[in-house]
Amino acid sequence: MTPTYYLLLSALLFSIGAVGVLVRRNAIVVFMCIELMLNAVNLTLVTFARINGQLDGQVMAFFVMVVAAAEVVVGLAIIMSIFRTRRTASVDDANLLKY
Amino acid sequence: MTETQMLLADDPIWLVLIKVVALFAIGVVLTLFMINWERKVVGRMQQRPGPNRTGPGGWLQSLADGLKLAFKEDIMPAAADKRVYFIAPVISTVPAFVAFSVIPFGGKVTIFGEETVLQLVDLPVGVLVVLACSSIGVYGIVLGGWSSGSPYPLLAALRSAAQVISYEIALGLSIVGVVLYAGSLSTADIVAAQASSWFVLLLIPSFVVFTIAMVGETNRAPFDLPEAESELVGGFHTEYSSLKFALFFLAEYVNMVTVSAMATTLFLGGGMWPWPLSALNANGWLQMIAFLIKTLIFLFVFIWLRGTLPRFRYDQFMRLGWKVLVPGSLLWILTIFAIRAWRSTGGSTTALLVTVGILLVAVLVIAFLVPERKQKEQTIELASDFPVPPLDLKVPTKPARRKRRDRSVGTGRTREPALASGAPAKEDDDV
Amino acid sequence: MNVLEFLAQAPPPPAVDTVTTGEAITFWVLGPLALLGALGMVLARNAVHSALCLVGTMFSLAVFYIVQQAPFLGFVQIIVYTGAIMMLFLFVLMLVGRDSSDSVVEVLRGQRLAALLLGLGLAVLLVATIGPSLTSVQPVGLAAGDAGSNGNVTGIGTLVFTEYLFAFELTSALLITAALGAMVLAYAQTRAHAKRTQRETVEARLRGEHDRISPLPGPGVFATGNSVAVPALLPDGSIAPESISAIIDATPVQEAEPRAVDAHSITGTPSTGGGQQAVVDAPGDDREGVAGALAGTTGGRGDASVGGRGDGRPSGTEENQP
Repeated sequence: MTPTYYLLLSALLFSIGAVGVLVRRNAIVVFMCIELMLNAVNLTLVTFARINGQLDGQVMAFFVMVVAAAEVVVGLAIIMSIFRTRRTASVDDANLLKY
Repeated sequence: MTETQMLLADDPIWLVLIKVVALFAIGVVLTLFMINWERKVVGRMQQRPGPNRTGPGGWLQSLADGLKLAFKEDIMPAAADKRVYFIAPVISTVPAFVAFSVIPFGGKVTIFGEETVLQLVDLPVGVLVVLACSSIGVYGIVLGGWSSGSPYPLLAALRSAAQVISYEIALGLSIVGVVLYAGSLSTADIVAAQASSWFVLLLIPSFVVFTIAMVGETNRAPFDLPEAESELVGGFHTEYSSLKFALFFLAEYVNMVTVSAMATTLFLGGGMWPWPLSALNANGWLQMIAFLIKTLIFLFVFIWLRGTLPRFRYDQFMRLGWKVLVPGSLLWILTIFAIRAWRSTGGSTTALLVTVGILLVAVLVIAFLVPERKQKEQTIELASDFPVPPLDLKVPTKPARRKRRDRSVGTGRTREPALASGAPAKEDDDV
Repeated sequence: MNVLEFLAQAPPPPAVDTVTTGEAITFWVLGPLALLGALGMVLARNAVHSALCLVGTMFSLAVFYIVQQAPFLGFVQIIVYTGAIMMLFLFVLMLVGRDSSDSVVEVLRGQRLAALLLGLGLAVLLVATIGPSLTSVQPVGLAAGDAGSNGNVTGIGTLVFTEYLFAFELTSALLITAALGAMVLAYAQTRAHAKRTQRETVEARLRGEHDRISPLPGPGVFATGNSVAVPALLPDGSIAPESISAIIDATPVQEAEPRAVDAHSITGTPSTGGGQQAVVDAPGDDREGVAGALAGTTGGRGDASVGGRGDGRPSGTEENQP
């Protein structure tokens, strides 16, 4: 086993997250799949930091975490607003702008 | 690597196992002791003896309670989510014990020929372990409340979790000052950095914020509305019984011990004896005694607060956490960073002291000389004849009680109870 | 020396960082757990179970960070991601999303098959890209931090505040904007009017904005019963008309005759024999008059009051019985 095995793991996690975004209908679960993809990218960054012996990868992963936190805050607030007015959290029902 | 890390790096497996078992035993024994001590101290504060039947002086009461809880019927509500309901108390208890692993109980000792320190691990980021454990412990609360399947535990669980998360932020901010002064996140380094003076003297605002935050973090009085029995039955553990409830109970008390131990480590110098007894610092085991004494002082403060203060309302303590503790901590962090930067770039100390002094005097002058806002008088017209006391009522002071002796002295007879003899006592007739 | 000589110099061979046995065991135990957690998150019916599986995955990832010489990042992952972000998800799920689960039947035809095929394709593509590097890359490893700084935390701190300072400032602006945005979204819809304080509520009540100033008298407030069927008695002994329930037949209550209250009998200091006699009579009068459910208690109390006078209880307690 070498450190690059972590890259394999993160690739698989990223694909699972991508499939989840396409398949699930509950808006919050879709959001969680996006978080999984961000986590996979974080693992990639940390592994590269270790492989190259520089801390830049860890700093980038840190910023990804912070941005993910901000994104979750706003995204969940939007989902709550939609739920308050439409009483549904399914992405299928947010289709008012459909032609 | 620091000396502590080197000493711990070559610990054999048997020593690690001994330390793990000892930490677990310390957690459980301190919990049993705390439950009993709390009931006794609160009882004494309320002028009653507390538990004094079970065991010598009543000290086996909590053990008896624990055994009783084990034999109670284990109820699982029909609407409960079975797997999550089962695992929630475990999620609450395990991080509470894991947080013990980074706490430096004492100094260098020799156990069975192996030189080591009285600490399980010394991570370079040890303080973050405790914060991480309290973050995971919140899951036990939230999942316990949600999986019970009924609305009141869920609401209480969400409230409790919101409270714990808010005070976690204040806790973390109060640690920043300590980390700055110690120069490291490792708990052993923080203890070593307090050799000259304890941080409780250097960082008084951080200490105050940490103490308030640790009471709020553990859901203890006066911040215990989420589990106030008079309002919410039991909060998030309403539907729990028997051993699962015992685990929640255990987790709460072990959390108390953990944050008390953290306060001792961060602010009171860990296992170091204070100035008159500094010679005792050479022995690692005596340092552990000092550590335990300081932790017990903090635990006594927990009990004291419970017995003395009334409960905060939920919005009041959220306001305290967010609007008072967090901004105050941030201002204090700014101040100490500024002072530190000034000192380390060679600024003169006298200029600094003069500036701080002028600022303090200015703040005090403004605080005392600004007139208070006058509350405008509002006349309230009453809408009905319902008897309300007048708004300008002055309650008369109670006259001093006349001693009961005065009456019987005059009559030469003790007062008889009124109808025992069937005839009215005629004391006043004798006067 | 000139540029060509500088370029011709071979770089010093980097130290090779091998994977220890402990790290290998950690990877092979927690890696499949992370994958299972991810699969569980995508496939779980219940949204809260989905969130819990993701928490498990994130925890495994945090352990991976710690094992790969990024302890600060690992603990920040636990504190921030698992402890705050996933907690936020759980809050929203418990308040909002529990009832709304996905429908089992997929609306778009072929969506699931296409998603699965595309996901597999993506995975194959990524694995094929990474595959050759599995054995050929020599990792350097981070030892005790790098760039001359000792310790992981100080290294990250130095980098954040020197090289990535602009990104740091932008991120903090982003966080402030996000917090403000969330507050606007959450509060704009709930607070149509300012919330009344306690004082304003009391003043409004005394000014007559409600039907009554005080709540309705509870059953048995001035009486000896606490059943809903027992009407309350006002201080002067008459029945409070608001306490008679509209749906339950009220039990007949004998109204007590209003009588002058003897202050001495309340305080327990007997003044005259007349006061004593009135107190003795009171339990006897009303013992029949109280609701059936409470006959036991009242009768018991009445009995105890007569016989137990010797225990020093002030006689005023019986005086309160209507």
